[in-house]
Amino acid sequence: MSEVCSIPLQGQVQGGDDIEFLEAEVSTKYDIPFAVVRYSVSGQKQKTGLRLDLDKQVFIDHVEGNGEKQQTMNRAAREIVKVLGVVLRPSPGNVYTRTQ
Amino acid sequence: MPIFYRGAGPGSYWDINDARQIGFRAQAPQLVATMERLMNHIAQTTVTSPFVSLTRSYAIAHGYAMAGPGGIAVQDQPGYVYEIEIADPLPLGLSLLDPIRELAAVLPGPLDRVSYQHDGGAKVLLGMVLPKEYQHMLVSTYPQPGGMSGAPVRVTQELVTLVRALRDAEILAVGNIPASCVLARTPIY
Repeated sequence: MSEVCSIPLQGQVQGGDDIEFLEAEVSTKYDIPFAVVRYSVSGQKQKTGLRLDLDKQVFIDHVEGNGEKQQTMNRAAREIVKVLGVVLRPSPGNVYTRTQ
Repeated sequence: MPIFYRGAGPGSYWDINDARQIGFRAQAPQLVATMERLMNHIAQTTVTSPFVSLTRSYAIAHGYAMAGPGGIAVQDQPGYVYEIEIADPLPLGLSLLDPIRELAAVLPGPLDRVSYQHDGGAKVLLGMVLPKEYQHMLVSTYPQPGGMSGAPVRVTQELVTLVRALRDAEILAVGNIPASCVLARTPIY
């Protein structure tokens, strides 16, 4: 079984300022309060992801840009946490439910 | 001597750079270590900071090491947990701060008009500690004098900082941590 679970964000989390949020990766091996968010800028998928602290609901890594871009990131962080909270909530039929 | 830990996720600065060779330094060592910056560093994860975060908990460092800009740590792409031993007296130019003690010393007193305490119910802390599961505890309405309040719970930056610092068993270093203090760098996945 894969130790990493990828959860699609497109269509669920609104981007902005040329940023689009593609998917979030979480560990299925350990219950950690972090996800790695893959994103694109102007349609180009970025090589590195952004660490998201799921408890603080803020990105640990930052994208260069103005205040508006930062506002987009702050809003998206909260939205992504909500999406992951729903998807990862343990339930019998939930395919994303963690194994540990 | 006390042991501290720091996690470095795949692709992070301290994954790419080995602190056993160069030690640890803050991203913005030129900044003055003020209480405002301490709170922003812990509560908002502000990058432009004169602090280096350490933890007394291996498990916390392990969690941080499991996620980096390169992705989730796996066998082909591990994260690292650093083990750091700092002797007393501290190396020249280095100081260690317990954020709880630092912040508690400047919190408003019980008779001050402005309080750092929340004004919600008994489960507000759950909402702060586990927002994924208990976010609603921060937006619920709670009884207030004269009836139910429709206002969101008051959660101050000071309280958020206290909770976050406790979550991470966090200790802050100000100044450079010499390479000689960095005992080990263990791959984890």
